Amino acid sequence: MAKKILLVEDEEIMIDLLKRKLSKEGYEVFVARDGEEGLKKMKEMEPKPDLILLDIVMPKMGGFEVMEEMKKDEKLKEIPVIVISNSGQPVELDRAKKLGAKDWLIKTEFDPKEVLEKVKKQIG
Amino acid sequence: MQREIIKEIILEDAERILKLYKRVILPSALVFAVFLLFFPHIFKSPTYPLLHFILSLFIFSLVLLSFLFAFFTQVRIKKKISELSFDEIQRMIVLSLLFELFSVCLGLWAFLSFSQGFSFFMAPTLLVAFLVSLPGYLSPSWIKSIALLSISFLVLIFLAGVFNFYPFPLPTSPLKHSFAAWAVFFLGLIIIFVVYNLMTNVWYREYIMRARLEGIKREIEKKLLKRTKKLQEMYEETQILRIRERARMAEAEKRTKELENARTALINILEDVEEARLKAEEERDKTLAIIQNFTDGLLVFDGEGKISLINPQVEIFFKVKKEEVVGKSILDLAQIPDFKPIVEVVGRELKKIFRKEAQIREDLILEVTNIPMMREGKKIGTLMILHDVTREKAIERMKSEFVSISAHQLRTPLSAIKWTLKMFLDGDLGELTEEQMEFLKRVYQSNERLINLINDLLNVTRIEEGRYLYKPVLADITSICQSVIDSYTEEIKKKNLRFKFKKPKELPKVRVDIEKISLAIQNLLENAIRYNKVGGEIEIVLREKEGKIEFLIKDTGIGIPKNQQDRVFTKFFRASNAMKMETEGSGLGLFITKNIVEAHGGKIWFESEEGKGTTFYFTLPIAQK
Repeated sequence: MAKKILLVEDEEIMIDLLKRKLSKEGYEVFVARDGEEGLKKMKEMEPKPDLILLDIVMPKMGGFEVMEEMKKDEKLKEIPVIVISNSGQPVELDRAKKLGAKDWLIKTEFDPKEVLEKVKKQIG
Repeated sequence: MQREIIKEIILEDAERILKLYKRVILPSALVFAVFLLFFPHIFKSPTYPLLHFILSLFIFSLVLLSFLFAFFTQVRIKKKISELSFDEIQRMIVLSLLFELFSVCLGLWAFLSFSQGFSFFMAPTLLVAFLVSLPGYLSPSWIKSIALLSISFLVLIFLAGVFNFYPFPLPTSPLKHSFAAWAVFFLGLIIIFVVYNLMTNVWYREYIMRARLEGIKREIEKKLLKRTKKLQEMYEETQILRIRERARMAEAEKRTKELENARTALINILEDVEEARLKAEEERDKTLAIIQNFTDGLLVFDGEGKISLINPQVEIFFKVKKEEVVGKSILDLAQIPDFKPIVEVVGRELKKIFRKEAQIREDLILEVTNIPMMREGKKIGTLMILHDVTREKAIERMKSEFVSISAHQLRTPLSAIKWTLKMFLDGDLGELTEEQMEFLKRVYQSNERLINLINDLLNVTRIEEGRYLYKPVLADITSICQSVIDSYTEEIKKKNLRFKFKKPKELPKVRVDIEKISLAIQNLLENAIRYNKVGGEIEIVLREKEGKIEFLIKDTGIGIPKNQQDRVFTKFFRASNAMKMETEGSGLGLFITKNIVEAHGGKIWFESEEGKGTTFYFTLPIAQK
């Protein structure tokens, strides 16, 4: 069975590129365009996603808030999260780590291929 | 007393007579004695009976008187008067008078004898009689005196009888002759006693009178002397008092002068003190005015850690009144909610701190500085300065947010471009022609440069904010270097560069922000590759040197012109030869590298020769265990 990835990202082009890349590799990609939607989908999805690719700066609810909500939920807190963001402030990286993020990718530092590698490393 | 006076008077009289005797009578007597002894025929002549009589009498008396009186007065009265009692002296004086009388009698006897015819033995006989009588005058005992006188008289009579020189015609009968002699003797005694009593009374009365007068005189003299002495003493006392008074006055004057001087000095001191006080007051007022109007909060703690002074700004910060906090200790202040963050920062011992932040409320952040106040090496209090940094923090936050947002906003489209181009180049978005691929590659590279520029600008902003290093951790510099080198393997290969990485087996660890140090090494390596000749050389050396970790990177590149070397680490600087070789470049790389190295406590420098190459060095402190 294909691994499920929930992509929570507000930029359309990033969604298209990542979805294309990951789907090509056999991953089933679900998309949420803001944090609120992402959280809702997480809760609704059964089984739960195998990985969450989470942006930080999003409308309605940002990535940190999503992670905080996920921590409170027994079913959601175990889902691995890779943050993909254009912010690179060390304080943010620390915060993400404390909230349980497995990795942090700065979009300008990495390309979709490298993202794929990170995903494979995380969920196979 | 009276008797003593009489004694003295007698002594005086005796001395007067003695003086007279010595000077006049004695020499005369001696002369006549010589005549008597050696020229007796002169006195023998009956032709001159009166002269004979007078001379005989005179001579005789004088000789004897001279001898005895001199002896008597000199030996007995003058020398022994202090041993004799008054009665003894009295008796001796009387006896001396009697002796004189006796001498007169003897003289008469001699005269009368002369009239009867001269006898050669008369003089010696009389002399013997006197000699025998002498002890009588000298003896202190009345009985002895009378006895000796009687004996001498008898001797005289006897010798007169023998040598026939009686002063009067004698009876023919031997018995009558003796009776007459005894009658004369007792008559003589009676005369002696009568005369004695008479003389003593007269003489005594005279002496008493004289003594009384003398006594009175002496009494008066004594009293006068006493008075005089007293007056003298009083006078002396007065003089002494006067002298003392003068001395006291002099002393008082001296004291007064001293007091005057002291007063003047005191006045001067008081004036100085007043001046100093006014100055101090002025300074204090100035200081108080400064304190009162200081925009920072000021708290002064005394030596016991209690608040002695706060300025109005503190009242505003903590919404308290001065009276509520003055006199309280730091622990008491912890009870006031707004003070709690301050207490947490400074601790109960009011430790020395410099610009430590304390969030008082949502709308108030204060920077706390604690300065101990010292006097002569001893802590007398603490000065706490509270600087409101709420606005600065807000601005910092806003700046930070702005930078973050700006970075994010700038990066967002760039990352979209990057990812799209990469997917094109990776063939994820369909086949492209070679020409299309080529263009896309260039666009990709341009995009990458733009991303790098933004990154550099972001780093520079953070450097200038002073919050560049995040969390230094213990790390192995060798592995960090290796990681960076590995990411540039492609570039090194592309330019066919000979690359060496010299490192020891083991190096002490360093405490670094791994991301930033990697960036610093990356910038240096990038330059070494970019500005190197094709087929050139790059050598990286890591070593421990002088207690530090030293990194060096040597290249065989274009080098840095000498006249531009002093600007190498400045913002946006690119050497002219570098710009000619590679137009792309922000000029921020070395500025960032230098700041990274220095933020870690290290040093960076270089050696370069244009056309030959450059070696960059930097050191990092070894992590303390």
